[in-house]
Amino acid sequence: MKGLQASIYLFLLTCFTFFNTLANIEINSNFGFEYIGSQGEIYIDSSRAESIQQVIGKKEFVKADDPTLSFGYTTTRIWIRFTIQNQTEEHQSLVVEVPRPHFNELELFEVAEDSIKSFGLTGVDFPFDQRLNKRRVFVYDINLNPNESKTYYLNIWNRLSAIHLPAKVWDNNTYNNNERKLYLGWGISFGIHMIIILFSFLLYLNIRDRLYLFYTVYVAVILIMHLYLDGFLFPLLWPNTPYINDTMRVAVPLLYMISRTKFSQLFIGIDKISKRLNMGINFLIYEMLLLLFISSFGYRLLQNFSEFYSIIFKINVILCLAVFLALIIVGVIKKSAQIKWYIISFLPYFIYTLSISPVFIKYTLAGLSDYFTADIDVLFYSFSMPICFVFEITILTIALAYRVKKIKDERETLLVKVTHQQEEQITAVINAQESERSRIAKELHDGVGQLLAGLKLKFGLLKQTKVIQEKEQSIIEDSNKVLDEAYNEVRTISHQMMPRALTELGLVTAVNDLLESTFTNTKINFEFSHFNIQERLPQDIELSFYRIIQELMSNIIKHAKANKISVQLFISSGNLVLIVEDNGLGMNVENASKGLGLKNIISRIKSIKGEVNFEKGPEKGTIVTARIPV
Amino acid sequence: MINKIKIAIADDHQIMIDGLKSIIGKEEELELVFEANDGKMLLKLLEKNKLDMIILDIDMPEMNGLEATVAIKKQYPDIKILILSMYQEKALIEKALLNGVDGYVLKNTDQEKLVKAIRDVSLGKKYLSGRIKEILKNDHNVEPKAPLIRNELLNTLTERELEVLKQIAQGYSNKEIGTRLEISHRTVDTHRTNVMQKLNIHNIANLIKVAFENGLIR
Repeated sequence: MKGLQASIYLFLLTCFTFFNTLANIEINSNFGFEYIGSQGEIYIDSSRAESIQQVIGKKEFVKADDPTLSFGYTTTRIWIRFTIQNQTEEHQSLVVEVPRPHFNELELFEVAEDSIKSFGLTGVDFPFDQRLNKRRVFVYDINLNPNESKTYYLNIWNRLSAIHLPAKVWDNNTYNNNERKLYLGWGISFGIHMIIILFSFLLYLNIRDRLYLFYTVYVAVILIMHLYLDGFLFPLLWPNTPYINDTMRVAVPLLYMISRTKFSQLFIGIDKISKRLNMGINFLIYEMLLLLFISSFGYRLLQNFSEFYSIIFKINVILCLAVFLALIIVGVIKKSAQIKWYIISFLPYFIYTLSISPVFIKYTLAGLSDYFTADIDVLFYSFSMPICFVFEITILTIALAYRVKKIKDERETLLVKVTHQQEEQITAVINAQESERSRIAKELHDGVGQLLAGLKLKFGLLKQTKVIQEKEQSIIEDSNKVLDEAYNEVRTISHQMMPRALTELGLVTAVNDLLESTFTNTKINFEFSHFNIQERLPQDIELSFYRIIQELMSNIIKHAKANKISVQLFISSGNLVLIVEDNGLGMNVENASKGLGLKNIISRIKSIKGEVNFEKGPEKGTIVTARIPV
Repeated sequence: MINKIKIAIADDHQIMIDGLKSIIGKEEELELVFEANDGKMLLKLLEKNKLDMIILDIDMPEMNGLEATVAIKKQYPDIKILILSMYQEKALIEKALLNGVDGYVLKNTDQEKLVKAIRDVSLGKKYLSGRIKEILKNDHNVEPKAPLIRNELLNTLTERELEVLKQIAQGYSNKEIGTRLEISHRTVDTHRTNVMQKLNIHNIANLIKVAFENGLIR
């Protein structure tokens, strides 16, 4: 009992002492800004029920002596009392700024001898339009007459996160200049983010690798997080539905953790390195997605379990950090190709985190649930973190763009390889086909054909013998005819399979033979002209062109309904050129190129690295142009 | 006793040789001196034997009939050669005649005609069977006739049209010409139509002829 009494006494004494030594915020002609926390006093209303009238003149106010006014996580109502004294002979317009955008409730009062003036109850629990000053943070304009002194009471209440307010009194001009600088910084940062988002999305569209999609999402989340933390989103996106602010308060950091973890997983390619870690990461991501879902839709419900939620959230933060460390360690050990970029990219942020870690740890121990913020200086806070992030995403973007180049190069090499292989295969097939044809043609010609010819000779001898009766003579005649037919059939097939004229006498002669034997005794008139071909051409070119012409002729006969065909074969500017023109129906190039005949022609010409084109004729019909360097 | 016509047969198929042998054996004035299975063997045997004529196949291993003809006609210009072949391609027949053969008969010729051919050739006449004559008559004029276009008509073409004409004659399609001259393929088509109208030509074949005749391409 005695101890308690002593404590109370000591407490009251302390209060009294502070009250006596209390300094006002003094405004002189050089005034720029002053932290309210360094001169003001605080009173904590645990009941959250006291009104301004009850609070005024309370003896329980104690000197704060902490410029950034950190209370950690608390659900009590904090009162701050401060006095501003104009020491100049001029009228002063000042700004009181509470530079954190996410307090649930706050209200500033100007208290004089006989009056209390409220600047309006505001905060993120109220529609944005109700704010006196429509700014992203809480800003109040106050005016002081020469030598005037005024006392202010500010109360703040926060539902779910820490109270931490580096509130300031500014000279109006200094404040505006500072704001201008901040906005310039935000503008640049926003621009860089947008460019990177666009760029990486284009990369995604280009190579369709989902890593790039997740990277785009990650950068977008970083941007959203910054815009949210600096209070830009509420007035822009949901000014009339203030409860979304609380949802966002838990959703944004979760979104950040999810997108960062997912991106890192893909960037380092952990699925190829460690299956177990990969599974763990997947599990963590699903768990956080579930948490995100619950906190987004069931937030009102969650309010009752805010302490519990806070613990879960912190566990998740720690898990994410653990995953982050594990990724780096595994990446380094297994020599992942991307790991060095990853490490370089987060170095500045790491250094920044180290530099603020003492404060960070202090707040964490005090129960701060905003894991990512800890103020040392407003400018430092406002710019260091965004600069670290901009550095990170710039490095990552370079790494990813470089990776695209590598992938594209690889794909191209592969494509060239595959195309080359395909061409070789086609050529091999064609060669095999040709040698088989040649073999069969020879077999038919030399084997069956000669046998039939010899048989016929012997048959002729039979006819002359007198033994055979007249009746049998006619049988012999008929048999002779059948023999002739068989002989001609064999000869024609053999010839079509491998024309002797082509190997013996060359392309021009063989084509002439082909056209004559094809169109003689038909209704089709043909014209064949050739220029400039004096010498024999390489065998594969001759054979290919001969086959192409064979195929085209059979196509024309089958489909074109033409009665005029012209075939031109000439060498011009170092190319052997074939132009086949008919006056038929003309083909639908799109459909026809899927047909087997044209496919054969195309693969034929490709196998000798030539070109072929199908076009409509000037009046009607079709023009086929084939070309090969000789 | 009359002088028998001394004959050799060169064919790589024994059944043909057998058939010919029996035909020759039936004709009194014909005498088979030797038989060969390819051109080289034929030439070797020729060194030791005097001959009036040879019945020669085109398709043979080692040395074919066409090559053998050239060699024989060079060394023994008096020996007559009758080709007995399955080939009825005009170009090959022409080639054989160019090499100096005296007759050309298809292998499926009837016996009587074959004997007639042997007799005619041995007497120094040229012999071509009816079918061969028919094939040779199938003559398409390959050589370009009189120039299609005179210079002054060509002068009416604009520079662009001339360029398009050149490109066509180099075997490029409309699309390719469009890419090469950096114009659309429809524009190329218009140019082509204009050129054809100006020159009064209705197909690509003649356009190319014009380009060649006037030295637009080489």
